[in-house]
Amino acid sequence: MSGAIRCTNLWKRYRVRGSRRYRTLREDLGAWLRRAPTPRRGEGKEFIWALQDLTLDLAGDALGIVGPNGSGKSTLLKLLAGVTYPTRGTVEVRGRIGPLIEVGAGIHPELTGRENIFFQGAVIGLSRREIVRKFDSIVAFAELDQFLDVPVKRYSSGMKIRLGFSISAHVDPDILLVDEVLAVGDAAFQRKCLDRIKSMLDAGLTILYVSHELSSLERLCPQALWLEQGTIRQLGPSTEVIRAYLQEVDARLTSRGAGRVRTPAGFELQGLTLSDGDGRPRAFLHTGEALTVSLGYESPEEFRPAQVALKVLDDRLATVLLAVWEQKESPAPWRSGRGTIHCTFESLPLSPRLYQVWAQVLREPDLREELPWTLVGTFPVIDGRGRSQRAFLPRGREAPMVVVPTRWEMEPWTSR
Amino acid sequence: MAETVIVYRAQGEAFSLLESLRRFLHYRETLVTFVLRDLKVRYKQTLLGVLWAVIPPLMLMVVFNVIFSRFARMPSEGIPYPIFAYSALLPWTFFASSVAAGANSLTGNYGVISKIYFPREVLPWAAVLGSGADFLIGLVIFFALMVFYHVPPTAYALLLPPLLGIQLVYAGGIALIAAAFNVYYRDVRHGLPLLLQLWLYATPIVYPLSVVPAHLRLAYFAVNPMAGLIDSYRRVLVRGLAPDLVAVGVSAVVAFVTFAVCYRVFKRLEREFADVM
Repeated sequence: MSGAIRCTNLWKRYRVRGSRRYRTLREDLGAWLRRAPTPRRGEGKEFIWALQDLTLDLAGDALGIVGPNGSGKSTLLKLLAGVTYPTRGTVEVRGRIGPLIEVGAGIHPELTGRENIFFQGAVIGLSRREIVRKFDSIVAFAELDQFLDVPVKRYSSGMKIRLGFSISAHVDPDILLVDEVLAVGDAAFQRKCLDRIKSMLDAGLTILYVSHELSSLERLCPQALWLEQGTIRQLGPSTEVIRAYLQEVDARLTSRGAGRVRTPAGFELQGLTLSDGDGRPRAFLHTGEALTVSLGYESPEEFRPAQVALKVLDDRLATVLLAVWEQKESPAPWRSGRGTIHCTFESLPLSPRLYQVWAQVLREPDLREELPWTLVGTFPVIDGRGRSQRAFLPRGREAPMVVVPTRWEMEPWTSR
Repeated sequence: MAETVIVYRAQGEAFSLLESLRRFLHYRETLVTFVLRDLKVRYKQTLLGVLWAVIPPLMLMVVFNVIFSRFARMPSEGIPYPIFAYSALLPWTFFASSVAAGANSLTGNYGVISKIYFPREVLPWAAVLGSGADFLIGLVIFFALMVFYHVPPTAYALLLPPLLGIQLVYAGGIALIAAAFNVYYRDVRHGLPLLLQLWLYATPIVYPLSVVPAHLRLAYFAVNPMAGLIDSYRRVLVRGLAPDLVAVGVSAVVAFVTFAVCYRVFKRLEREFADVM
C-alpha cells in the first residue's frame, strides 16, 4: 500500500457562481462607504454547501464516485489535491498525490508538446532526469510523436487530453485523482486509459475515480461512493451502490431531461426534440431507424465553444454512442443568438430499451467544461417489428446492446 | 516520499515568515520551472524576440533625452544625460515589469492552480525573477553605453548586487500583494500600469535626487524606497560615489517590512484563490 487518504467531518462551502463572477473594487468600496455590511461568510443564499460532514477513509484501493452533477464529487477531488481548502474538518493525504486528471489539464497553449511534458513533469515534482527517462513512454502513450514540436494551441481537443492524461499517468503518484477524463477522446484511447488505470491499481495505488460512465467504473473500482448534495448517500461494493443509484436515476427520469440549462458564460440549452430521419418529431424509435437530436440553444455573442458532444447511454448508463462536434474542424462558423443544433445518427441498431441523451460543451480556449455532461432527454427504442408490448426486454447482461439485421442459413454438407 | 503526510485544515496555521520561506524554498525547482517557462513563452511568435527586453528602457531613454535634456535642460549631475537616464531606467524597468508581471501571475495560471498544490507565491516570484532576465540583458547594453560615452565604471559598481537584493525583496512584496488583490479585484489590472507610470515620475529617474529639498528626503525615501535605490544605482554605477547610507538604510528597512506585511496578507488570502478565480 503506498497512498492513503482520510477525510474527517469535511465541509466545503462555495459562493454561488453566476451572479457575481468576481468582485470589483467599486462595489465593495460603495458598500463600505454606505456602511452596508458586506455579506458575511456563510449567510443567506449567497453560499452553497458542496460537501457536508463527509468522513471517508481509503488506502490502496480504487473508489468510484457517482452522483448527479453538483453533488460534490469534483469538490472532494479538489480538496484531496490540495488546490482548495476545507471550510470545516480536515483532509489527510499520505503519499505523493498526482495532479488532478481533468479535461484540459494545465497545459500551456504556447508551449510545444515536448516543452509541456517537461514543464508539467517539473511542476509535479519530477527531476529533469526522471522526465527524460519517462519521456518516450509518455509520448508513445499519447501517440503524439509527429506533433511534439508543434505548439499545443494547434492541437485538437482530443490531442490535448491525450497529452494531459499521459503525463499525469506516468508520474508515479501514490494517489491518483481522476475526474471524468474519459468523457472525451476516442474509444481506442479511452480503452488505453482504462487499461493504464487498471495496471496502476494492480500496483497498489489509491485511486479516486469520478465518472458518469458506470460500466467502466464498476469494472475498475471494487468500492463505490454515492454522493448526493454533498453527503454520503451510500458507500459499499460498487455493484450494489451502482444498482441503487441506477434505480433512483430511473425513477427520476420522466422522458424529459434537464429542460433549460444555463452555463456561467450565459450559454443556454433550451430543450431537446427528437425526430427520425425524415424530420418527423418522434416520441420513440424503432430499432434501426435514424435519429436526429435537436437542441435549442441561445449563445451570447462572445461565447465560442471548442466542442459540443452528445452521448447516448443505455439504462445501465453505459455509453452506447458518442458524437463529438469539434468546432475547429467544423465547416460552418458557430452562430450566436438563438438557434438549434441538429445531430443525426444515421441508423441506430439499438436494442429495445430506454436510452438517455447527454450533452456537454467545452469552451475555448482552455477546453474547460462550460456545460458538464448533462442529461438532456430520454427516448425509448422499441422493437422494429412494431410489437410494442415487448418493447422493454428484461435488463441484465444477457440483453444485447445492439441489434442488427441478421441472417441465418443452413448449408447442407454434401459430399461429392 | 511515501511517508509524507499532508494535512489540510479549515483553519490556516498562524503566519510565520521563516516557516513560509522555508516551505517556499522547498519548491525552488518548481520556481525555476515557471521562470523558464515564462521566458520561453515570452518572446514566442515575436519578430524581434529577445530585443524586446531592451527596447522599452532604450526607448524611454531616447524620449527623455529629447524632452528633459534638450528642451527642459534638466540637470544631470555632470553625466551625459542618456547615461544618467538609462542608469535609472534600467533598474526601474526591472521593478515595474516585475510588479506588472507578478500582478497577472495568478490569474494567468488558473489551469495549474486548479490542478496541483504548491505554495502560490511561487508564481509571483517566478514573474519577478523572469523580469530579472531582461534586466541582465539590459545591463550589457548599459556597459556598452558607458564605453560609448566614456564613463568608466569604478569599484563602487560592485555594490550593485546588494542594491538589487533590496529591490528584489521590495518588488517581491509588491508583486505578491498585487497578484493577490488581482484575484479578487480585476481593477488591479487596469489601475496598476497607471500607478507605475505615476510612480516613475515620483522617483528620481528623469531628474536628479538633488531637486528634492534635503529636509524632505528622509520622508521621501520612506514613502518611496525606489527613490533611495535609484539614486544609489546612479551613484555606484556612473558617478563613482558611495551610496548614501541613509537612503539605502531607509529603503532596505521599508523594503523588508513591506515584504513581510505583503507576504502575510498573501498567505492569508492564498487559501481562497482557487475558489475565487
